[in-house]
Amino acid sequence: MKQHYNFAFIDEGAKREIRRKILKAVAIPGYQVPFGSRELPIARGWGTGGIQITLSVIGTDDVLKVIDQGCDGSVNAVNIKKFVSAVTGVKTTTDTVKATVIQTRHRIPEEKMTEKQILILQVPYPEALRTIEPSEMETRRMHGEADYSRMWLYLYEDIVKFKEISIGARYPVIVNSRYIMDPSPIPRWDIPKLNMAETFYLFGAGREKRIYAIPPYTKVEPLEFEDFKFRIEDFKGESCMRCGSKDTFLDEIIDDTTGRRMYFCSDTGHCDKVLESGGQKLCR
Amino acid sequence: MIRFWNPEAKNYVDNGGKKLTKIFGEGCPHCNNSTGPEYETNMCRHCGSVVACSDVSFELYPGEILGIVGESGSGKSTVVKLLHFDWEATSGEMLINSTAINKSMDINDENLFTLSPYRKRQIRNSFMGIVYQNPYLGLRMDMSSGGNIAERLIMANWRNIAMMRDRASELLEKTEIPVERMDEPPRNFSGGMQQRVQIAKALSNNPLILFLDEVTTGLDVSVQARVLDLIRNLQRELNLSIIVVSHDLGVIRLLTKRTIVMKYGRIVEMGLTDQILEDPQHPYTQILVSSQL
Repeated sequence: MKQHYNFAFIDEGAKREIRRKILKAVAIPGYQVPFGSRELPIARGWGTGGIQITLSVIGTDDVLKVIDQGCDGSVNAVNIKKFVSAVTGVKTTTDTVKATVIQTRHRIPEEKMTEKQILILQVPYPEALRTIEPSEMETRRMHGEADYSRMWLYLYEDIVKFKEISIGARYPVIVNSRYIMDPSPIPRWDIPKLNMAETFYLFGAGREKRIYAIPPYTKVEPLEFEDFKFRIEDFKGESCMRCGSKDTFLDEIIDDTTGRRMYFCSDTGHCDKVLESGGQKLCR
Repeated sequence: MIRFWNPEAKNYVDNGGKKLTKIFGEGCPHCNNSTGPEYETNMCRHCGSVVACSDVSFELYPGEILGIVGESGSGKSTVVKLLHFDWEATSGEMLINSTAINKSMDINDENLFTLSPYRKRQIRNSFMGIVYQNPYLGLRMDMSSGGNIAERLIMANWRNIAMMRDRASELLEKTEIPVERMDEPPRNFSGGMQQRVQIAKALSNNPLILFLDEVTTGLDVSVQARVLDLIRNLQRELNLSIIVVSHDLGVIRLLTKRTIVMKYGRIVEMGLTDQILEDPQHPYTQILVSSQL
């Protein structure tokens, strides 16, 4: 194939800049590092932050997996995978274990990942405090002084109104006992996976021009009160209709005609693997 | 310079430093010499800067209520906002000699104005409370009243909802707000009730120093009387040091033992409240007292 672009599309100078920013993000876990988000043949807000990080860290020996809300086959995931593969020539996979670089939107794979893997999350809104404070200058001050009382107050009000914390995705976490961080819109189910994880997590927001990171073995705690603890989603004993898994994050699908509720694994790669290894098929 | 007397330490903290000054604008060497009561302006004629307060110096003792009185624009509120670290002073020193604060904050005769914003915020959250004239400045109108009080508790690292709610109900009860309205936002309340929620919020972290910035302005007379009674009773009960800013001499007479009279950003007279009101020395104080209805 004739190369029309530099390896990994972005020029080397830009990749170096992004890698330097990643180093800074690693040095200050949870801190949002501004970076010069480049133009890509994809509209901003469609995963350009994640793609730029992927293109900056990927090498010829890497194996790439791209998922969108846990699904390997969604249009967004397939297009990103095709693009990165076309400009780098790396192999792609749907198997979490085989991949060395995983780019994801809104999910962390179910299978346990290792130190040799990098997980890159696409982030729409990197500022965890944006829900309570519209001013960027003020949120920077709040981060600088670790003045997070308003975020806690937001949770307090939630508990007073709804008797529980109503945040579904984007549950705020404290990284390394210092910065409040937006973990990107992953479900609460995935939050515990961030704590003391072996894997290196990178977060990229292309539209908002921010990179942040959770280095391996970093303490990540969800915000919780002493008498209102953080809870993950409860599927009340439901299992995946394809593979029968009960210990995975499930997507709920309601049949339009019958109104029947069906549950499927959100992580399709894992679901396929369980099926292949003889997992019980439990169609009802 | 602000000095605080510590009866335990038996010593007077006095570094002989600069007095409190706040200039809005560029400032120039002539600012202090071309403004003040003798020039009847607080705007520098050389550079156009506004000298909101200058050469202000006083002490506040534990359990004392100090009044600051003066006309609009005399710099009363500026002094309070500087002491509460809302604004940064142009120059001056704020020294504190309280065993509780010095020990917990590890402060040894340091000028509090030179501390980092983080440490200033810690001092403010742990040892200070403020009630503004405008409840919209002191309260979050979109949050519940209980939440407003809880915010101060969260700042002091409380992380137990039940305990925070217990403390909020206790304070609301003390400030005569029906506890069953704790989860309502203050915007649903009357002006007097909003002011009382502010007081409850200011008291939530058991402050050593309370700043009251025109708390009764805009309230009707009966509500004013209730708020003032409440402040007086709470001060006796909790032995608070309070700085009351008001242009109402009635409020000053009722609450304070010592009073400072300000005009054009300067202190023109300072002394015991009785003495100031019964035997004013400065011409401006004489006009102020004689013009009282």
